[in-house]
Amino acid sequence: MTDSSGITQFLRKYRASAVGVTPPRPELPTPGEPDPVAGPDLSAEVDITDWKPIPLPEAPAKPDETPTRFVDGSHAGQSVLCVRSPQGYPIAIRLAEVGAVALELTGRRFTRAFKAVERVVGFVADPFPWEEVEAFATALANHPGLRLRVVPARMPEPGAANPFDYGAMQTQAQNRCQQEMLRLEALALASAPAVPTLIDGQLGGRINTRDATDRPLLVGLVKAPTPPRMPDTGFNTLLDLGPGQRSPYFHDPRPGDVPLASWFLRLASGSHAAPNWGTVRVDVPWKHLERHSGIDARKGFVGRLSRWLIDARCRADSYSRMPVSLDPIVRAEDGLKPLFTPFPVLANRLYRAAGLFRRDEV
Amino acid sequence: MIPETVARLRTECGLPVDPSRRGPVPLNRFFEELSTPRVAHRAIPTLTLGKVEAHLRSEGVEVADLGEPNLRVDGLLFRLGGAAWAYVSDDERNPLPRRRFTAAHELGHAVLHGKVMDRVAIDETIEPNSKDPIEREANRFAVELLMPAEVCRARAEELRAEYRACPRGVLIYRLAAELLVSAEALRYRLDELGVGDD
Repeated sequence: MTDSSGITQFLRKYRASAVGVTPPRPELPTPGEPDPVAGPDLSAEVDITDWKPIPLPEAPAKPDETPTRFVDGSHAGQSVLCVRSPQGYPIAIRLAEVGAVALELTGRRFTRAFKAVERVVGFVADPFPWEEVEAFATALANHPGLRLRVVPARMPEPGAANPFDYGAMQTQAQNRCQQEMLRLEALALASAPAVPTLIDGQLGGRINTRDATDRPLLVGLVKAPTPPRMPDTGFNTLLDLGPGQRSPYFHDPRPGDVPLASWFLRLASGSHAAPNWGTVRVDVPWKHLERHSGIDARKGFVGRLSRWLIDARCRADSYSRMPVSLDPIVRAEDGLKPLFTPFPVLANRLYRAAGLFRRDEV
Repeated sequence: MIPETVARLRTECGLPVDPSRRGPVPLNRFFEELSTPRVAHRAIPTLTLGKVEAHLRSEGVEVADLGEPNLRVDGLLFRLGGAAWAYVSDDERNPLPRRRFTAAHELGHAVLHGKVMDRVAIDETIEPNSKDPIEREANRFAVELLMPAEVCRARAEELRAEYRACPRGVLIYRLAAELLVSAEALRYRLDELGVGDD
């Protein structure tokens, strides 16, 4: 019989937990002090050197402190064609459907209050003669079976990528199509400005400061958050967060965008969860936090909203992103997907219109 | 005066504004259809006066010295009798929407300034807030041609009818993509038209 005490001793001492495969998470910035000018004020609630996980109160949220409208977007697409620019660059043409949906909670019922689905074609257009892109875009937009809106992507910044890199061109096209999805989410937000709303994703880029400030409640839930640059105490706090615990909130001034109050919240852990899985970032406009005067009132608001989010978390084990998802958002997603055309059908329509009957000849 | 000139040009070229059709204004068709003067357009990588001279000579045009051959320019219109050549710089500082705007700007010089300009109009850079009245007119021509008010208003109404909202930020990006113009140019246009919610 082998002596395993050396194994257990070491593992116990260093807080071992079993982990399995979990989705990739964003890379962390190097520990250090945030940018003193544009970076967040991490000590808005608790001095960053004293950060530690904060257990949530059991107090329920007040009626006007919980979202009743839930906005989610979706982007389904892939590169379906590759063309070579006059310079020889391999340009990916991405066909995508983008959409956004909003569910509203009335009593215990969700109803779909907003839906938008669009088909777009994204590609790096700069290397082509403008008159040819103009003719191509017109033809795609007015083809009765396609009705595709061309969304021209920019060339990668000089020096940032080799223009002969097909992958870089794919990324540009994908990012451009993703922007269209964000615009539809912005439209979903704008269509009901007086309803307390939670959006799946960050608030930045979807709403301007004035509109965000005027709303009764606006919450962004970021599933794959990149933490700010912060000292070791900050990263230790994130790794130590247990289910139902949050980090202290911090003030992110975000020049040119909506200033935010943000905090990290561990929605769930789950079996064999990696230490960075199950944590989301919660964003609310800073002005909303300022409606509560005094640090205790602000802590109370953040705690009650966090408690509500924990209670609304997704509990469906079968859903792969369960530990970072809310049940209303999963429902919204489920309501959006059926509105999309099956991708092979869409791609085949484009191939047919392009004369690519067997996919390999024009 | 310029909106009326653009409207007349659309009639002459048989290219009226039709908001029910999607996509960019067919600028290239205006070049093809315009008969007085006939304007050819050409994009040249990193355009310089020397490259313009070389191209004109290759077309059989006798051209006097245009200026410092290495001077980089964003656009240039050269006029000779009933013909004109519009040049646009194709380089990293001139992405596709900007190249289209420059081409429309040069077309504007050809349509508006035949009687007042010299044989050549050199645009080192095309500034939106140029102090030169000739340049301002050419910019205005490009704005009216590429971003028709009827289309801007129609798209705004469509958004409002379908989604009960028309945030200007959303309209700018959707319409800029459709019309193949820059978001900045379209922002100015929607501001002046008062289209979209602030």
